[in-house]
Amino acid sequence: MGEVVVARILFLAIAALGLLAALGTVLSRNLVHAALHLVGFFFCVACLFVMLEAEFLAAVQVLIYIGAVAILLMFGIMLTRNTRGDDATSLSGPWRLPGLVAGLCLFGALVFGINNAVSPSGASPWAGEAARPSLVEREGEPAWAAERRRAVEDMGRVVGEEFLTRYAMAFELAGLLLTAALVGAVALAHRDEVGAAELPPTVEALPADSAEPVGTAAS
Amino acid sequence: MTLWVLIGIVIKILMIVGITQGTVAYLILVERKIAAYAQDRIGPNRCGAQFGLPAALLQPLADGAKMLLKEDVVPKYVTKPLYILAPWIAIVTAMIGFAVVPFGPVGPNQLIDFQIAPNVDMGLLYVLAVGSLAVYGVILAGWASNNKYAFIGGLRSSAQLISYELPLGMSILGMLLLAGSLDMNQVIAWQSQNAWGVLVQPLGFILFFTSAFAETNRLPFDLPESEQELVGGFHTEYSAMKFGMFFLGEYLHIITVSFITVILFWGGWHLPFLGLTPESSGLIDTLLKVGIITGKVFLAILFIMWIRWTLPRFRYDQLMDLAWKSMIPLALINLVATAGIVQLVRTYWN
Amino acid sequence: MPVNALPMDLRDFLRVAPAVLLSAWGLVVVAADLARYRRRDAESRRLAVGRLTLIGVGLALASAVALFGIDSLAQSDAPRLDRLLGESFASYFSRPDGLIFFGTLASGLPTDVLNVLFLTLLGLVVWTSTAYAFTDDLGEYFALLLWATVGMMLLAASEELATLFIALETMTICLYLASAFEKSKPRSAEAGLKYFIYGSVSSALFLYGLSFVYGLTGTTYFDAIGRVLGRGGHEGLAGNLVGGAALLLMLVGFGFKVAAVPFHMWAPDVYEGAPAPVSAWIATGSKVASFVVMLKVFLHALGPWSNPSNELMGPGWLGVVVVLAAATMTYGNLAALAQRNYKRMLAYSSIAHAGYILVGVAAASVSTAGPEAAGAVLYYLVVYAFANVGAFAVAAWLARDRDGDAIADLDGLARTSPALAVCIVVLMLSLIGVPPFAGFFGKLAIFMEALRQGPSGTRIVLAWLVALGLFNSVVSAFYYVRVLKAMYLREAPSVGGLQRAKSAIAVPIVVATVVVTACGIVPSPLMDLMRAIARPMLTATTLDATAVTDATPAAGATARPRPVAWTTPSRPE
Repeated sequence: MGEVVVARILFLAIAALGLLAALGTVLSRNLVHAALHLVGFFFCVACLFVMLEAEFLAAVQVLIYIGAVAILLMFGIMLTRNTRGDDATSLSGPWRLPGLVAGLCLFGALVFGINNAVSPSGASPWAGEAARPSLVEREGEPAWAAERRRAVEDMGRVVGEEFLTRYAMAFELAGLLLTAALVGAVALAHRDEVGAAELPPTVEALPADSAEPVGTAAS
Repeated sequence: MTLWVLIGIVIKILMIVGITQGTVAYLILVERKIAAYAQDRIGPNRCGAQFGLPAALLQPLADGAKMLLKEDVVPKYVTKPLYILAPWIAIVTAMIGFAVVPFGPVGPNQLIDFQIAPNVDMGLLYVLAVGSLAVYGVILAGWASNNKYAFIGGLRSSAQLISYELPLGMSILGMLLLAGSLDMNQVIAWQSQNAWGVLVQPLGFILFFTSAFAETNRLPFDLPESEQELVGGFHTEYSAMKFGMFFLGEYLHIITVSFITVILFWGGWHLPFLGLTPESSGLIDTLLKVGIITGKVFLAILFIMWIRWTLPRFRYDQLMDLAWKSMIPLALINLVATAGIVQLVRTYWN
Repeated sequence: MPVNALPMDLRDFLRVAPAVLLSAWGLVVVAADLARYRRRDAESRRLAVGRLTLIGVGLALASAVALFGIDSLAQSDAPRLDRLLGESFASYFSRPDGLIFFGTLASGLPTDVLNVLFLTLLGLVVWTSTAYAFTDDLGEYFALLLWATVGMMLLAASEELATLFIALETMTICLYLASAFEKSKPRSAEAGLKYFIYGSVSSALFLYGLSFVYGLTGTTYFDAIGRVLGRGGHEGLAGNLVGGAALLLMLVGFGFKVAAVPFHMWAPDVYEGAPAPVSAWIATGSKVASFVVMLKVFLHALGPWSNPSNELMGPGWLGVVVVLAAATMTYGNLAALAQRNYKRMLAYSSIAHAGYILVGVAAASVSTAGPEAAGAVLYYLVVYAFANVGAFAVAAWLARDRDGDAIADLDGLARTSPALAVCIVVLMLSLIGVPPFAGFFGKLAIFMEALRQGPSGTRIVLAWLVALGLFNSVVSAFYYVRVLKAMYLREAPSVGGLQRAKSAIAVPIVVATVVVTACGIVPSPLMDLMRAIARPMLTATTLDATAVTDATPAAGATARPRPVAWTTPSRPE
């Protein structure tokens, strides 16, 4: 039973940290701090994956979300001028209360609902406690335990197999989605040089309000 | 039983931390000596001469003392929490990468598992994931310093590290396809039974090694800190031990990268004609394996230092062009070709 | 190590040939524009890229029609298919389940019909896009249109939540980008940004809802979800707060995509700001695809949650959808009354139409006709889509010649282009729902399904909803007629009026008119086809799913062909 208690304490600690990080993300006025809180939140999610014995997902979460997505986010924030945040970056006055109420209502419904979840007959109830099957092979274990063990021990391979068979089309479609986003973003961000083909633009030629990327962030 | 395993792990961690820190201290000396050699100077030669030691063997002690004893300046205009956090991130991310690196033979019948966390089935993914965190140390240092030079250094480094992470990750995929596992011990075992990675994946090796330079911010890719333009880049505002931590992190990174290179492409503990197999577990064999792997790692580190004094720094646009227009396409070609060959061999050989 | 992947049938890729072709053709268009056409002058470049895109759409359409032929042959005349394709292919195509990729995608007649529909509409939209210059990034623009269509086709074909979500995102992200493509106009960028922000929030909520459904049922397959939910034991959503939350979150997602009140806020601004062809594609293609998949999710997967206690406001989604439908059509029509801007008016009108279609969704779940009742919705969608593509071609015309889109810009069109003015009249009448045009029969069919009820014990009265719908149709006449008034009763401006429409504008208008007229005068072939495909579309079942669920009710959540996931067992008593 000791292990269960330790696991529960660990879970609560990680979840609490994650919640704090999420709150920090929402409440920070400074965008860089918000992004850093987001990184912290991603990290907590990765920790939860580890607790669920999904180390592969945890590593992928760190690699992609923290190592790539959040870094790009930071990069983008740092290239913009206003990282301090102002009134426009938060919810404006009259809608703050309704937004808060709606959020709390959803939260309450979910807390209450998940605690008293009515699962369809045949599926296991959410509120119950079920010991995880052992990762060590045992005599007379049900077939799904062996299946689960295979998945846990070699998750990279299992995920890959699913991607290339069952979800082949969804996987390809995700590739198309990223390509489309890339092509579209480049086309939108691309600025046509008007009459600047002959001369490289000098500093004076730039419009006065063009973003000044350097060093102004934190003055 | 579990207690002993735990104590063993703690001892391993302490040993590895101690050894790597010591190694880093001497690597700095080695680097200075190599620099002196490359520039036809003598280099450090005093420290230790009083005690009859040659070649300034006590220089690292002097360096360390200097780092520790200097005044730790925290400028008034910095964002303090992040300013203090950044060097810690740099050093911690560099350290925890060692958790899955095998320093010698690992396996059920070995004397000791030379790995802090043995049998992690996705070791390489872990190393990549942790490596991708290192950029936070740099970018936060640059931002928190509130200084143009540092900020440009941080921005450059984040762009550079993101760009070079792609070829770094893709170049090892070919090797992983061949070995069929993300576990580094299995990759070594495959190489000992077949051929070294550098022979079967020459392109992958070149791409990996090149991006490794960029990932460790070494010349010719040291734009984040280029002294001549940015006065040191992201660590301009750091002094004393905080600066020392960045320094330490950088060298630790070099050691990790060298280990990965050796493990993936240089056969790990394998040397031809010695008859070492993944199963051989005698005392002599074990020592031999550890010796071979560390020797190879040392060679790799020397090579990295040699490059530093051979090639000039890239221009920023050239750096990006190299990553996006040459290395990533080449890595993709390498991956697809390897996949095709592996599939053909699997279909028609056995 | 042995690779023990599922045995994959690579022929499955043949059955998504239209999507594959379109995806590849998008790259061809981008590359060709970059390499060949960029140096030409704007006019000929636009025409050339548009023509190239049309060729791709034509190829995809040909493949979709071929698949349609094969699939209908497999049902009607299997021996002939044997002779045509050979034994193995023929038996592959006549597999009864009509699912590919291990049940994640549907294939077969319903998908083929919808693909043909999407591709025809896409062809018209692409053609409209060549009418006037609104962007310099032509290759990228057309590629995004093609890729959005790939998302739509796979969205309409998806049979599983993960595939659904990725297809939905592919579709909408391409549309977000495309709506910001008119770089010379700030309101286009505003449209793109607004669409993107609202859309990503609604997608996040939607995904949250999907994750609860997965948590409750342990599966992501529509069919298996329906099976698990339908196993009884509980009265639908009674006391099931998580289920209710999941349902509402999913409704937010769908409500946004189809622009139902109260998730419609983005629609008028986006329709007005985006280039006319993009607005057309948002109003037609994305709406059709979203409604199709909404039908699938709500009728097939969540069907048991519809009206479990046979009450309108019982523990089920029926009541919510009915309220949404009523609010949507009323609000859309009333707000449209105040519009002076042609595109904004069309935006509100499309909100109103979403309301009518939601009535159809509600009706399909209570009608005694069963899944075939959804055929009425499909029929309505086809008619609505064609009429709107034609109407937005008019908007492209206004943008080309007047650089604006007020209804007043249409003044006196009947004098300058009498033929096209008649076509526009027909389109507007069809949108109002005046016989003998197809819009009338669409509304009629939907309202009939709402009234087709069983004996009194199981009857759910939707009559007031139908009455509200009829009232709304009358209201809608006022603002559609405003267009007719401008065309016929006002004088054309002496200078700067509408020029002669070229084929890029005339063809979509004429085609749309022909379709709504033909389907109005002879409604039964289309209606029969839609009813015929509605049943397989809403009942697609993997072949061995029944065996799995019925044999082991305890492990019922693993209602997949071969479970790789697992479920924790019920707690030992």
